[in-house]
Amino acid sequence: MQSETTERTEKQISRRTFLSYINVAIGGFIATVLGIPLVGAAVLPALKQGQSNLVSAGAVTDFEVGQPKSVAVTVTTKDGWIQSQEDKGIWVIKKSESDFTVFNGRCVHLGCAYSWRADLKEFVCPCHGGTYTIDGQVIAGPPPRPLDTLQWTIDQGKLMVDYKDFRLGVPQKEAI
Amino acid sequence: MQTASSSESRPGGLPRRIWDWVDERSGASGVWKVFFARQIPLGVGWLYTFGFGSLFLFTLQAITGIFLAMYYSPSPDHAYDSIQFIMYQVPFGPIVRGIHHWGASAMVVLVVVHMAAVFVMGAYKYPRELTWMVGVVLLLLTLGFGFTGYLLPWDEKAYWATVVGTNIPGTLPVVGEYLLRIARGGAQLGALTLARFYAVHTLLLPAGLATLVAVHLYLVVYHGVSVPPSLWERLSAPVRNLTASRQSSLGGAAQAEEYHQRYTEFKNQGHPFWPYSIVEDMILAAVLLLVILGLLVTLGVPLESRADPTNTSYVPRPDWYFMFLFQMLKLFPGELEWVGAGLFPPLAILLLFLLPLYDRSPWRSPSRRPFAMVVAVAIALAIAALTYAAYQ
Repeated sequence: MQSETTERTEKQISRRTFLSYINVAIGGFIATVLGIPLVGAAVLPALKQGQSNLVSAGAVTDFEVGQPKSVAVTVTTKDGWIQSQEDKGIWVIKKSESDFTVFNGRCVHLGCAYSWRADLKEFVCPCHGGTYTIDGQVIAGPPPRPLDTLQWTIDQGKLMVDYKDFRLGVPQKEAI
Repeated sequence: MQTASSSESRPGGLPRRIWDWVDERSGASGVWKVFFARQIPLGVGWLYTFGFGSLFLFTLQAITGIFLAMYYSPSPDHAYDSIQFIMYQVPFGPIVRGIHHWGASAMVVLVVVHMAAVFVMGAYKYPRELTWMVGVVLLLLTLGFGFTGYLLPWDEKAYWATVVGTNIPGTLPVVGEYLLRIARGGAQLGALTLARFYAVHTLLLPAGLATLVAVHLYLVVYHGVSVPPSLWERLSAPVRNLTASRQSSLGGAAQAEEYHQRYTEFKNQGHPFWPYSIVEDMILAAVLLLVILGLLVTLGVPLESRADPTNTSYVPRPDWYFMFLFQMLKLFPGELEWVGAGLFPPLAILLLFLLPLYDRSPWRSPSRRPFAMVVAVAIALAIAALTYAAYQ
């Protein structure tokens, strides 16, 4: 009699445990089926890298060899569902008729606009005193890396620049 | 000191010790006992799963709604573009929006089915009258979610169905114009309407629904789940509900005592909610999720073209669950429209709300409540016929 009761209790316990597992399994199934699209939708777009923004910086003949020139380019930016046009500054250095160096116009320290001092032959940032050579190498001040170069091509006599912004204040050049 | 040493000696290691620590300071195991370890009376089965199903769908809507709100912009300039962004740019965006869209329809179905099951089983009778009344308000809030939700995409359907929907209270005499202006945030449907509907849909209604769900659940736990009428009335006379028993206060008290005695007997023969009864609820929840995903895969997620207030050819149609109201308005001639729009629906809701108070039949089995059943079936058929006619 007693063993029968014990057996029944054991059976009941095992049924109870089994049903608990079933409940947890169904809960896990629902959480997974929902969790993947929800987390994906919230996280993946935020991790997407910036798209390429090929803009014209002017005719190749607009630039003089060895003379850095500041150019304002109009960049179309997409901020989610809002598309807007923004003016951005770049520096163009013509090295030869077919060779250029193009810098993003922001100081890599904290993003101030820097300028070319023809008398010193240096780029100078007015905010915290960062200075760079014509090749963008840091001479003095807090900038943690050289100026950010931009990709360029020549298309039908026009200098086309792939405008990008980069993370500031860090030693590595990382597009954002 | 003593507690610490006794918990250290218990099996289960660190997780167990952390749990004991939290439990001692929060009483969390008491919550578990009340909500999950509670005893479910004998005979409770699948017909009792629709309440859990409705709660599951509300949770699903709340969660998917939060994620949609990360990408949605409630202004006429950007609402449609932001929905397109969700549909075409956000990974899994159509799935999240699709679950929310079809989940809304499923929630209306489940809430109505839940109410129908409670009605057929006479479970709204003593002592659960208040649970029913809170449930009727929850049904209204669910429909309110539907109404405020479909304006948000700012497509043709959203715009025109809301133009018509907000014009309906506008037909009421005297207060009509004020109601219309309050609903729209002004005379015209525009930026203020969209912002208002968004606030109601995502802040006011969720807060109201969550509060009333808490009250509803408290009442469900407080009274326990009703015993199926077939078992309850098999052997003995019915227990009169409170309205009927009020005729004699002494009789009322005696009958309430009899009720509780019998209920306790059924409860003792039953089993705990976890893990026995909840397994049916969990299976229903999983099936609901699969049905919603199935609808989303087979029927897609509708998005019409951008709202155009100058469009003269668009025929506005509400969502299917408001179709019977839409069709019913055609039955009333112009000057009497306010009867169909403003008098009839609130009266019907009031009758539904007060049902436990005027339904004085002490019986719960549908076979012993032929009049109530005939009336309910007639209403269900009328709603079905109006919905069918609206689609013709």
